[in-house]
Amino acid sequence: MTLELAGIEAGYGGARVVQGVSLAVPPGRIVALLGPNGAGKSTTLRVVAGLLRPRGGEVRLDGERIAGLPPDAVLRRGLALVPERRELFPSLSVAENLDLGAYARRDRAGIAADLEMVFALFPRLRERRTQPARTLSGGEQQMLAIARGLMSRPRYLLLDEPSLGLAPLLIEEIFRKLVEIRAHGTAILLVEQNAAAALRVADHGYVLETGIIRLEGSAAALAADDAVRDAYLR
Amino acid sequence: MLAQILVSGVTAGAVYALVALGFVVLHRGTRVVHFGLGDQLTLSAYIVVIGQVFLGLPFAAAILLSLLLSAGFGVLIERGVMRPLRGSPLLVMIIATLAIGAAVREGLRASMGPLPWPVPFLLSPAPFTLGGLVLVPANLAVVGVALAVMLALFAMLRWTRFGRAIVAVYENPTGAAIVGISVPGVHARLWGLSSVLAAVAGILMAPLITLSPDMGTIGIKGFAAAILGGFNSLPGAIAGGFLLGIVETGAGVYVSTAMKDIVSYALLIGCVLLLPRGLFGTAEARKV
Ligand SMILES: Nc1ncnc2c1ncn2[C@@H]1O[C@H](COP(=O)(O)OP(=O)(O)O)[C@@H](O)[C@H]1O
Ligand SMILES: [Mg+2]
Repeated sequence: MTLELAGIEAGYGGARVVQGVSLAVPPGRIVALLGPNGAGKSTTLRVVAGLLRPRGGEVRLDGERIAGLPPDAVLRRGLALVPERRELFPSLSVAENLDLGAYARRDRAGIAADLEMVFALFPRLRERRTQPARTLSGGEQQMLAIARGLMSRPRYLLLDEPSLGLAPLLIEEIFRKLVEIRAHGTAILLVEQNAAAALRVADHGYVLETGIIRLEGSAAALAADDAVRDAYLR
Repeated sequence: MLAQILVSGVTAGAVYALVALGFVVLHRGTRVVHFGLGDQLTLSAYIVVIGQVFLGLPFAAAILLSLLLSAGFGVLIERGVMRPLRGSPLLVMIIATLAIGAAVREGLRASMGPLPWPVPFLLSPAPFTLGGLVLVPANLAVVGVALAVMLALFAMLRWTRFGRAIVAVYENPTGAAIVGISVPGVHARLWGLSSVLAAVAGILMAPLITLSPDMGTIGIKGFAAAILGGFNSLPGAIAGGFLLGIVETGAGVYVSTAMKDIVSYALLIGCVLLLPRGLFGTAEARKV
């Protein structure tokens, strides 16, 4: 019952971006993948979500090899990506975006219950339910992207830089929601440059630099680590 | 006179609108401009003739056969040609559609001969007058069927799972993929859908003109209508189709019948030069 990456290698054209990444996300935990801009964090998530075929290594979900499956097949196995660019449906309403988040599901009652759940989590989205996604503020768009991901009822949420471009108060709010999401039983692989915010909510963490995992440890240990403090916390 | 031009123009306009929809429906999701669409339209009309004359099918069954085979042919193009070409430049795919069109056209010429075939009207072609307007039941049927097909298209996009997946791909292909929609699957559907729209246009148009392998030039009219409509808007494609039909009929009446065809080319070129987004087109949806 774990999401595991073993020796993942990936890149674009001639560029080797991810060079043998191994990590594990146990069920119901928040695992942070930290590192500077350009380290290969988003590329790693794209591989897990099936948007990019790895050049080597394995992605295993509960032991099943899922690397190379198309994104819709990955989603049906319980992994949902909330990408860095959010990738919302801009002219569709908030409600329609959420509805499409549940595209792979057929259980009407469960979908309705989860819609209530995401509205309880992000009350702002209920107020904006009839508005086109493109008219939302940056923070609201991030909430919608997370909520849309949750509508597939994933066991693992792959979150790429939820703090990007948001004001500090909003970042606080979003990260508090991540703890609530974990309480619902959803594990999170949290990619962040904002190490301080990520380590406050994470259980475990990895530091990626130029495509290689440099450090690994419990969130508390990483937050106390001198190298991490110097490079990312200060 | 003006009213008569409107009434006559909407018949051709309805057909152009269907072909324009065929172009836009496909292009919005795949970015491919299918230059073989006109020839597919011809093929669909021929299948009706083949079903009736050679297989002895009733008219309705022949139409059903044609629609099914047309959809299948569209899906086959996606699976057999476009999917293997994935990753190659868009221009290569577009040239492939030209080749498919030429193959269909010359295949029809070789197998069905260059002579025109008769295709039955849906309703009587005998005109009657109503309030001073000359109306033709067959033409009214063309408009009625075309409008019904358009309504069905919009209802499908709005209310069916099949349609919602298409809209999601129109809005954002990456977003569609990560909510669990198979984007290649939607592309196949779009090829089938575009082919069916062209097929309906071909079956409606065939009795009004003569069915010959070169009927596909009507595809250029549909293309012009789609450009008028901005090439990325479905309502724009419909408006462009009707506008082209009416303007063309007016040019035929007020200038000369020889001018009719020149009008659509002139509109096409004028529109590309002066209004690159068409009359109704909106800017590409901004990514959120
Ligand atoms: N689609 C792409 N094509 C080519 N290079 C890319 C692409 N996406 C990312 N890269 C490159 O890969 C490297 C890692 O990018 P990314 O995985 O986005 O890093 P991070 O998310 O850690 O900031 C960067 O050097 C970036 O320029
Ligand atoms: Mg990134």
